[in-house]
Amino acid sequence: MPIRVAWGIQHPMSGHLTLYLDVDGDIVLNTEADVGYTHRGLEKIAEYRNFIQYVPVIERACDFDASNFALGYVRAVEALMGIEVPERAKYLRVIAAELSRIMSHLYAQALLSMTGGFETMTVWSANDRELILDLLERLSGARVTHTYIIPGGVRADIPKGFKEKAYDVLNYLERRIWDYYKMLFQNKTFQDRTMGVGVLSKQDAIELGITGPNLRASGVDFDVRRDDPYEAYDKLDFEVVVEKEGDSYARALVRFYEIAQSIKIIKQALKDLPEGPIRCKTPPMLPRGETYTRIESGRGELGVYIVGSGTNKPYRLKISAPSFRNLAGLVYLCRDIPMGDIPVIYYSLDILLLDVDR
Amino acid sequence: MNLPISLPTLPNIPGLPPIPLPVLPPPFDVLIEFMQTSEFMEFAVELSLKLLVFPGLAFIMLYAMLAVWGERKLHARIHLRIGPYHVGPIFGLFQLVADGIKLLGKEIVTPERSHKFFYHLAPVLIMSLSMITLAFIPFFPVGPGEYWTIYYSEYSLLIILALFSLRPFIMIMAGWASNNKYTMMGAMRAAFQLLAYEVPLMLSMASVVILAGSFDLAKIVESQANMWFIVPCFLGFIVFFISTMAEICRRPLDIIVAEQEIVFGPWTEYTGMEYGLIMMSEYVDVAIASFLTSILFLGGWHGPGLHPLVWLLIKMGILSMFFMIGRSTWPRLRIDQLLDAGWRKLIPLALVQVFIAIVLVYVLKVIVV
Amino acid sequence: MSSYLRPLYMALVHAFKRTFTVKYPFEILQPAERYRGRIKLNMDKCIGCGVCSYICPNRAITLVEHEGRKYPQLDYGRCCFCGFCVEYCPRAALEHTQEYEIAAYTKEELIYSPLKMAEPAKPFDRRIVTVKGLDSKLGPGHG
Repeated sequence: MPIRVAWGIQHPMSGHLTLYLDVDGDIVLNTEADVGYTHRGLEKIAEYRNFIQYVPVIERACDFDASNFALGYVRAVEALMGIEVPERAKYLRVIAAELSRIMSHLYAQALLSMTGGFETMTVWSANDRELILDLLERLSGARVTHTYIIPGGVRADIPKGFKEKAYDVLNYLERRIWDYYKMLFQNKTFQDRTMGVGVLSKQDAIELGITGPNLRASGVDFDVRRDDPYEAYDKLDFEVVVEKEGDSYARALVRFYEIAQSIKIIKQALKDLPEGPIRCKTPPMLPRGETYTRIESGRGELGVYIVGSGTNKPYRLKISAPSFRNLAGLVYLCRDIPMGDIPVIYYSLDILLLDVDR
Repeated sequence: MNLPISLPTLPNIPGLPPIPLPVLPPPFDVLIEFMQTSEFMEFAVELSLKLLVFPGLAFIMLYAMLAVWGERKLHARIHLRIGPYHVGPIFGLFQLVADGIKLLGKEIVTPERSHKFFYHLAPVLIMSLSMITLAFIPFFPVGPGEYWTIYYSEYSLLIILALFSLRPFIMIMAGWASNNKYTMMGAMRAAFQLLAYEVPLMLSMASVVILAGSFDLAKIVESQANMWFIVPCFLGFIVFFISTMAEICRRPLDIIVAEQEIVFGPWTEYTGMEYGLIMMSEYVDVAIASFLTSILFLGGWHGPGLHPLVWLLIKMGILSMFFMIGRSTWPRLRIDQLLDAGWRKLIPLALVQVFIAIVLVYVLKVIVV
Repeated sequence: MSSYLRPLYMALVHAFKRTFTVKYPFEILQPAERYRGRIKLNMDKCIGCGVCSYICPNRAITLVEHEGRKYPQLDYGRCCFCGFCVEYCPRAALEHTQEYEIAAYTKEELIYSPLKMAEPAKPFDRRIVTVKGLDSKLGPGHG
């Protein structure tokens, strides 16, 4: 006799999502997701802010991955205007975006280990995230919502002493993440909890529209940074991490290896940083027309569709958020599973309700 | 009647005849006479010492304070944090006192449609159950054949096992009386888990009983005078340690109090001092488990040089630390993995251990019962 | 078996490393040079043009009369510390300080009048720590 449980908002582990579960004993038969708790109307706000003023707003769409979201929006605006930023600005944008990606992946790992009651990994990941936040603070002026990438380039050049400090932090982090590997990924209890849980086959992942590290954990070799390169990614050398099993362990592992790849990218970008201006002039008004651009954020593929109106405020802005697409995977996977698997699947898909609801 | 003692009288007021206190009917006068004998006085003093100092109230409070401090400090240091810091002489030693005062000041909430009697009874019962178990454990010898224990019985191990078996009922009582779907599910899982781990518990205890030849905990310790039972019963030690960790619901085997992550299982609806009682009972349970493990497998109070009580406390302290390290090192197991481990992996190991014990005692006659 | 015991070994090794805690509020973490904190107004340089008010994304700045001239008044309940007003001011009359402890008990206290905005930055009166020593034996720590 199934009872309906609200794995809901007033719950210590659910984030901002309500899942209505039909539970029979310990088995969840069916789920329905109820989103909209943190809807702030960001797309409508865009019609009342000009294109520079909107950058702080779009960063709050997902504040653990702020620079990537800002980059997506700014690239859409620049594609509409038809301008191209100088080379130095491209490399600086790559540095900010990759630091933001490391931040997002460390946070995802912290949350996933919290679901197993494994507070040790949560605190360790948060400690190391502090070092990255310190770097971002030196670069841009704020820890979480950087407001560093704006249409036309970046806001400021790298400060003195940044390169040495960045090399210190990145060298330390490269050694440190192998501690995580030994403590978390080779921990038999964590493997029991996540291996074989929430398996997405390759066909299912493509059909449902899953993006990002979740897609790459199911065996699909697709990364926007390599296949549709933007900024300076075509000049930088990195690998795309692909795993085959498609379970929660594989997804966590893909994020873990992506941290190592991001460190490699940042080191190359710091070494190859060309000289030149960091900002170029933008036209004062958005021309008429429409574009769609996409980038790879920490959670998946972010698409921004903008319709220019001839004034400096857009006529329509639509954000295609990665977590919204991954939510379809969550609803598809939470059928006929024991109830203890739901937090594990939810956090291994790295769904943050802030960009589902916008 | 002729009494060998004189009843007290009121003081002499000049002018009035001496007024004796009323003579009580039997059996009260015999009782008062008995209570004034020296044997009863000695017994009363010893009993109140046991109940109030060791292993009673004062020891429990002191142990809980040290255990709370030690666990949180160790947990924090593994996390590269500091832990309790402000309250107390050595950086936070009195954290339990501060928490206790805070919890006393909170309101005890009764959910609206709960069964009030059982709801308020459950935390009291779980604390009492943990503390009653301490009454049957012998701690150190005070003479030939005499031990420091509140109630000495020849079947003390059986009594303790029976008390362990009462725990699921109290959890079900708490979970059902709270009128909440989550707590009911948590209580059902608690019943499954505690039931599953009782069988390995009994079997590992059985191997020790075979080697020692009696159910009396004191005799079990006496027969470890030459060799601690951990040497022939190493498998049994492992099984017993894991089973007690599951019986007292200690991380990593505490899925029932981390039901869908931290809605606290059958104890969700408790606030204030009832929550304090539940938390205290967890630490008392750790004390009991450490005492039992050191008595059954590690030789109890045997050890060169120091007073037997000191040895027992040292062994118990080290075992408590092992219970606490397990909290920060492994994630939790899911309920079906827990049950799988209990039924399918621990019972065969315990049976092998019982077989080894039987062979050692009756076939090879290596150990003399 | 080793996959059960290796986390135990690693946990015990970490129990002897440096702690990573900043004992806030007794110590404070060193903010970066370009940290975007409270905004300070230089009343001599301000010409009352209103660019800061125009560019603010949250409309936190309004211009008010003060001694015959117009100055900005900033509502910290709305400010998102993005720094556009500082960047776009044509006379560089606004600048960021490194203060961030501006919490108040009522919303009216958060509206900073031009005189309050012109107050100089308070120096830090507590011990300042920075992240140091990324030694992988002892771990990072604050000191």
